[in-house]
Amino acid sequence: MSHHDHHPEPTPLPSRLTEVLRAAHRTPMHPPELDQRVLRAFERHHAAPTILARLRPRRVLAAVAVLGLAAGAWLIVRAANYAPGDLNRDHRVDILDAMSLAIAAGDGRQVPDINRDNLQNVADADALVRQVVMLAARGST
Amino acid sequence: MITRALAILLLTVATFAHGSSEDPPVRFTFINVYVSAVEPLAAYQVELHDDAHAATIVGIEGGEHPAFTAPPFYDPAAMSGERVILAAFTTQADLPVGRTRVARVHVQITGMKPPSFVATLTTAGTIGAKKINATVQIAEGVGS
Repeated sequence: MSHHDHHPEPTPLPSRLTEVLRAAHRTPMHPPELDQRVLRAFERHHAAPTILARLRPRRVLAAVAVLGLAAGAWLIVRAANYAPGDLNRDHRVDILDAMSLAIAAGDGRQVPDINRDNLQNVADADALVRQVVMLAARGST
Repeated sequence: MITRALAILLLTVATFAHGSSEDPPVRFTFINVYVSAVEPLAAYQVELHDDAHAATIVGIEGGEHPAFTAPPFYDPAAMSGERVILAAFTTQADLPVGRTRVARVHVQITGMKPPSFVATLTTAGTIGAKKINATVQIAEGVGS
């Protein structure tokens, strides 16, 4: 028999202590609902913040201002880019523009010189109509 | 001599027989273009095309109401094509209200395939070139 094979016998616990320890493991220290509430609170506290929560009011205002300025600039540029024949300013040249031009020319008002003959008259309305019905300019098939 | 004459006769008959069996049938018809508007119609712009590529445009005439009896404006390049933009306006006081035929487009249909014309109203206007709500309809070979 070697020296390492020797195991001393454990000292038995007092019976009263054994009973108290067993009783302590049987009854939980707090109710499970409390556990759940604590867990939920923990998750809420450590959850990643949402996009809205990250937004700062000043940054939001600045972004809105920049967007507003960009939209305004776009509208100004667009308004300045009317085609010469777009008399009613609806961003397309059609028969109603030609009619407007004919009426204006008939009333002696200023009209665009569509046919570039240095005269501003009803002939410009005819020229505009010819543009309107031209197939090549509209992707003839 | 007789042999030569017979040969020429046979060749002629064969040529005509061959030609008649190969040539596709051709017919002519017209497409009436109507615009309907609740307000008096003073201007319209309509695009008409044949989706089936079976017809070619051979003529365009005006409509039924005195305000639109003159042929509408169109690109002469549309002739012998299958697509046309029709547009007209009038400054007359007497204007049609409701459904009115504004144009008639004569077409030639070659082959057995029927045409499939589609009309799109680009815009319509009333007195003073004011834009109005309107619809366009077409009908093939109907009416006088």
